[in-house]
Amino acid sequence: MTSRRSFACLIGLGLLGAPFAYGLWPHIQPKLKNGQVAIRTAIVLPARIELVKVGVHGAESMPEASEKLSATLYRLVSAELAARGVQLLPNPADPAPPDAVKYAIADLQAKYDNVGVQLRKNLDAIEKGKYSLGDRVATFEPARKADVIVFIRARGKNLSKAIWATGPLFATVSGAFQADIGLVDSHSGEVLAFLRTVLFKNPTAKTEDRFQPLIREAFREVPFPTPAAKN
Amino acid sequence: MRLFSLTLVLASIAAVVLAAPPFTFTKVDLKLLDESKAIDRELESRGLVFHDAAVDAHLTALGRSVVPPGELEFVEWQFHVLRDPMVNAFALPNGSIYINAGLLARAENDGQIAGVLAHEATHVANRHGYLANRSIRRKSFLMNAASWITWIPAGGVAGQIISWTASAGQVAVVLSVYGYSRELEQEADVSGLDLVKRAGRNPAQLARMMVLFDEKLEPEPVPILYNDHPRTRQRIDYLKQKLGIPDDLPAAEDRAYVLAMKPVIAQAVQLQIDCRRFRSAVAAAAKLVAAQPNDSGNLFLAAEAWRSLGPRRSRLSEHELTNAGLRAGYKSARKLTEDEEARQLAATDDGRVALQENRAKAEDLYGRAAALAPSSASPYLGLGALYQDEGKTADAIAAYRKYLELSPSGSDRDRVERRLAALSVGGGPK
Repeated sequence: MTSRRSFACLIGLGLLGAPFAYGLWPHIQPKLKNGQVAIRTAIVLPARIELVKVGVHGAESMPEASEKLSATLYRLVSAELAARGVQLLPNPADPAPPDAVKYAIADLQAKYDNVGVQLRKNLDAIEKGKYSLGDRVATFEPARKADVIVFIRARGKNLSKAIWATGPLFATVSGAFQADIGLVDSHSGEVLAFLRTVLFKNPTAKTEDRFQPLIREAFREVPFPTPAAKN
Repeated sequence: MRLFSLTLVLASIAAVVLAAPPFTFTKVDLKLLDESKAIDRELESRGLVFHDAAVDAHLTALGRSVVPPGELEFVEWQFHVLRDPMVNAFALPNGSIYINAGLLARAENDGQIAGVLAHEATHVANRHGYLANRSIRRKSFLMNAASWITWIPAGGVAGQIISWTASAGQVAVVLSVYGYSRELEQEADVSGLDLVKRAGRNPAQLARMMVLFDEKLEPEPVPILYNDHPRTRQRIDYLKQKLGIPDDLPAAEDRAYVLAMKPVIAQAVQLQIDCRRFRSAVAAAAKLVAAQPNDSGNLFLAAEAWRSLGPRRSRLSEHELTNAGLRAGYKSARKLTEDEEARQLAATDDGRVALQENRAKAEDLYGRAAALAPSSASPYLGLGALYQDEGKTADAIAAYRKYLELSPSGSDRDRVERRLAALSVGGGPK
């Protein structure tokens, strides 16, 4: 139901035509909303960005652009958390960690993606505390002092001019860049918040300018030590 | 005489024309080559490549014995183990061959792995990646549109690499993982047999490996390489025909192979549990136990697998193995969380019985693991979780306390303490 609603919203936004960037759908678990769980310290895992260039000859991955965008989104999310008074632990993947830590990060990311399959089908259930990565997340050593582990996922298509020529409306909708941010309790593994932003513009150009307000907006309703800045 | 000369000239020209022309790299091919190298780096940086000096050396020796002789332009043979639970292998055009931990756990001996490596090496040597890429690019715009209109539902239940390639979008890469056209796969199978023979190994083991690929332990109607049912069956048949084997080969489990691959198989068990491939985990752990029945670590892994199996049978039923059953099982795994699925299954008569039996097996295995290694804390963590699931609060508390006593500063301390706290306020959830 929710994914259908999300899709309808996406189409609706595309139909409106005018807006080109949105921070949408904050889903926050009651435990976080009512202060049962507080976020003072966080660890952000490397962002997983899949950017694809689409032209008349099909799709091509954009590894370099994806990597650059991953680094930018990581930085912007970290900066926003810091601005909201959250203490950040160092990036566990930088500098390149030993194999054991690398595997632990990969397993954590995979577990989040596993749960993400069900979660994305019913985002409203996050608010009922339905989703958890399991308490094995507590064994992730780099997050031992963190309250939450932050996961960043994004995917989008960079459309060629030929594709845009098929119709700006169609291209706007199918070329949307969607970024999701998940906050997971680093002890219990519960998904505490899921935030989504959608950009209807090329994410590789003016990336910081375009994403900073989106991320700020996405985090607005999440209770952090420092309230969100007023617009 | 003149006619003879003319015939000779024409025959020479025909020979030159008909002989396979050397592969000439175009700009598009070189771009794909660059992307292959980028994929190598990406898999490594994402922690998806498994490193173990002995396993790497073993796999490299096997791989080197079956690659085609001679130098190939822009090919550097490399053999890697991927930390992925799916039964799959793939090769990138630059000569990097990846074998999933799930496949290594399913295989029975070195000969089967050599067959897979020879098959993949043929894809590289015959430039199948580049040819597929060119073919895709030649196809019409509308055909290609499918690759980007579709929002591929990538997801961990299908394994990390499937998830990653499905969202990577590069069609040629997706093909290399999911399988090429029927013709190219057949070419790789047939050439693979020759390469295996040349290496002095039994080519029939490739046919046996195909049978193992075709064995469905999990509901997964994902058309990945080797797992596309009718095609795999056809491939087994033509391989058997070519080898002159009337029936499927019997199992050929080699203890030395299992011991050489032990670190990968152990890794596969954990990855399979994490990806809800519980039956595969049970099967892989059983191999370890069969090879070393008195190894506490093996028994612990087997116990974990049986506990995780919960209300499921260790083999899919006849109904679950039908196309409709496989689809329904896969749909359920994508729709329901692990807990929801387990609760739903446990509510059935068969599920209740399976749950009881599996828990009993797990308890026995944990007990044996603890008896063999009295100072090992892990079995008590497993027992604690098992008793907690069964609602045996006092036993669970005792097991967790024993864990903390044996491993006061273990990595699981935090969660064990939280579980104990939850149990002390009324047996709350883990």
